[in-house]
Amino acid sequence: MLREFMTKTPMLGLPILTLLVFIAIFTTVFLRVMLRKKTAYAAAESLPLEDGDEVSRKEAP
Amino acid sequence: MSAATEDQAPAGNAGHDEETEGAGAEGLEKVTITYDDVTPRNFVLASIVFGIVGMLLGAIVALQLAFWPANVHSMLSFGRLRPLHTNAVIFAFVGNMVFAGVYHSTQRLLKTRLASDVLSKVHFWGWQAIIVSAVLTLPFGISQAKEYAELEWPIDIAIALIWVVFAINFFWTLSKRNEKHLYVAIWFYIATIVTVAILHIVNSLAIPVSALKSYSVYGGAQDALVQWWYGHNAVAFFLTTPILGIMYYYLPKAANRPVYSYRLSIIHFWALIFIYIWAGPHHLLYTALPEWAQTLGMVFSVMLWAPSWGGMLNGLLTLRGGWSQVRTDPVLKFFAAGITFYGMATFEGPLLSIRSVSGLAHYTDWIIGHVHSGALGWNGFMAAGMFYWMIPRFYGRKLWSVKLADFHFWIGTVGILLYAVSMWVSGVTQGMMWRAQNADGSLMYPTFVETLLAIKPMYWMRLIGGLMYLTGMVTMAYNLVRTVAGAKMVVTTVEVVRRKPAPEIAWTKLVFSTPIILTVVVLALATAGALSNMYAGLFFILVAGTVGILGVLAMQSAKKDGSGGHWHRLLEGRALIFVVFTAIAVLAGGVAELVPALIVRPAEIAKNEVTPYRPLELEGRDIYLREGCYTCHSQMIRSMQFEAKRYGAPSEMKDSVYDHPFQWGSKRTGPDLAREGGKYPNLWHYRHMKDPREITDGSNMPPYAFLATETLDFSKTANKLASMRVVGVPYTDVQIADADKDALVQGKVIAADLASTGVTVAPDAAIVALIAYLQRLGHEPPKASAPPVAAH
Repeated sequence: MLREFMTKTPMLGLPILTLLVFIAIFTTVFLRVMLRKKTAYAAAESLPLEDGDEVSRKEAP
Repeated sequence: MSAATEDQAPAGNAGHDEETEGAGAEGLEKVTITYDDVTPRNFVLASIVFGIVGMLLGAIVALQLAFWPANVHSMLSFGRLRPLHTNAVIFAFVGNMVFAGVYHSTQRLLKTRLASDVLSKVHFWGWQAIIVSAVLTLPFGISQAKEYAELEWPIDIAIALIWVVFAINFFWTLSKRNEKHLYVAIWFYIATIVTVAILHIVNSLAIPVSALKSYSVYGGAQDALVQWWYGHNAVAFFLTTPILGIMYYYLPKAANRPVYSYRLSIIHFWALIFIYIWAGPHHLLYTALPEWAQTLGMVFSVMLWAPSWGGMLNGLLTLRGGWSQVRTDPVLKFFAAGITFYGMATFEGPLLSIRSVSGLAHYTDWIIGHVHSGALGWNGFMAAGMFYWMIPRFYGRKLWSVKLADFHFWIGTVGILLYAVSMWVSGVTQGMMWRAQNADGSLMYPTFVETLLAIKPMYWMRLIGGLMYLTGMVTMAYNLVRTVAGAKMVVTTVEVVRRKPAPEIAWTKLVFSTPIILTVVVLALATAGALSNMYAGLFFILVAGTVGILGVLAMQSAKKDGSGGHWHRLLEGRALIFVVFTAIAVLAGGVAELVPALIVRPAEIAKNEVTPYRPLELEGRDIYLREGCYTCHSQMIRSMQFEAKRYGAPSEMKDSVYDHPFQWGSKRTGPDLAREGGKYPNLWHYRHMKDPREITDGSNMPPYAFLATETLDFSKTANKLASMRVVGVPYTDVQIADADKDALVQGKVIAADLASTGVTVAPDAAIVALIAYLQRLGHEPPKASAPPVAAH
């Protein structure tokens, strides 16, 4: 059935293949990421809040 | 830099930036960094100035639509100013804002100063020079006539070069970072840099005719596909992904709490960049674009709902428990509203991409309303939030007036709402009136101008909304100027802890890692299933699903045992591999969508049924491009009954095969012109150009009387034909050699016809060329009188 469909619309081959790649990768990444504990990302998510210790603060000349 | 040496450090763009103190215990060492805040500050200032200029231009073109006498001069007519407005807001206002945010946040997130002060300066001044060059060319009609890509080829090259400078500076900074992990904001910046480079280069490919004139290498439907692949992804990767990066950094910063879900941000990122790139063809539904490409564009646009809202929810939920701050802090107020507008715009976008909705909304003001709720609400408010956060910190002062910032917020919000609502009403009115039919099947509003008159009040309301928003911008500028008045920039030096670099992980370990191998196996099984008969296919697909699920569970189990690695975490530490994966995700959609359409040769589309434009018609077409006629007129009759009744048979792909660039347009302030040829006599066109109101009472078209006295130089016409031949238009050597003579011959015929009606005009007048072009649209000349066409 699919072969018949593809014979009629050969242009769709590449997009459908790409879509399959996307679905496969997306599903893998989704499951992989969501099955991990939230705490595993604690260090990464706090990066914007890490300013470091201010050593000096002076006006530009 | 230690405290002892810091005093000698030059301010701001100091060359020397960081110093490492001896390695500490547990693999940690301290690094002192003096950030470069002068570069982001300069970009902020440029953004504010150009933002006000761009929005003022927006108010002027809005006025011109409501009140045609506001077209006071040919250089300041709607068709020439509108591209300047869009370019100013997109590339000057948002562009400068993006560079400010990227440079400022990247230094903090990577715990290092920008790699090169020289490159930062070249980037800043180069970008401003490009903006100035737009101001110096677009009002003169020097334009490629491709929406949001109007700038001519030398400026396109300059844009590419400056973008490369930006990329080098960014990736160089990445390479010398003191923080191994790449925070999610950095991913969005990487996607922006990589994708914009690809989009700009592919869409800008053109053959130069002269120093300031070129023709796109793509024609007709192929050009339409490439242009809207570019156009939509300019929205995606210039107006969205970098702002999402900015959201992921500045929102947690301003709210002083981490992003709601880092896991969601990973999924948000990969899904968004993969899906976005496919969505372009939703701008071309019901057109002559192949059906499969239209369907792809629509499907992926609807899919975009999920990642877009994932990002929006991640932003808004970051404020959970902190909404009381939003009431008092102008920064958070702008961010919260900006993200909400993002949610609204990304709900409306997929909705408009559904074929039946597009059938109503396309070419109407609804699209203008949609674009502006994104540009003013999402981009403008995120920019304002970032500026209110940055500028006081750059100068070590508090914001001069929170009340004024609140005023900015409310007048801006009401302005956007007035703008969006007026355009919704106007758009739906246009769409309904265009398609309304009587019981006998005839059009209820056969005269196009009836729809224009019906929406006139909405144009005034839109102008009021736009002016309110502009007032807010000016208020912000005043508030920030008062904040920094008399103050000097503060140079901040901080000490950060650098984790000693972990042993490098081989790239092979990432590329040939379990998730990738698993994906390939699942894909191979799924492909086998797709290519087999029904029962075997079902079997393979079931096996693929089972292997996939078991594989993921096995990876989880391995991690719990401590025997597995966190693949994505490793990936985030390897910038180069991350960039490659991002490029693959983006290119996949672009290649799969564009290549099948681009490999078809123009001759195969033309099927010997289309004659290229005669030299004078080509000259007239260049006038059409120069005056920006595409900003108000489409040349694409959609395959809908009411369109065919109003304009003629639906456009076919071959109709525009030799149009470099295509002129299908995106908006109908005036009627479609695809089959304009032969509808009216030459005199009608002459009078209409000189004074549109003389022909159509109530028209808001600018007068083009100056075209009657402007004469063309046909000595360069041969060059134009020769360039067209390079891009695939089958002109013969004789046609090229005789281009000037043929132009004059055709001009004399039209001039003689006009003379017979009492109008005296030179055969080489610009208006004659334009009439020749308009009379040719959708009107194939009889084969006998057409110039011979070379075999192709």
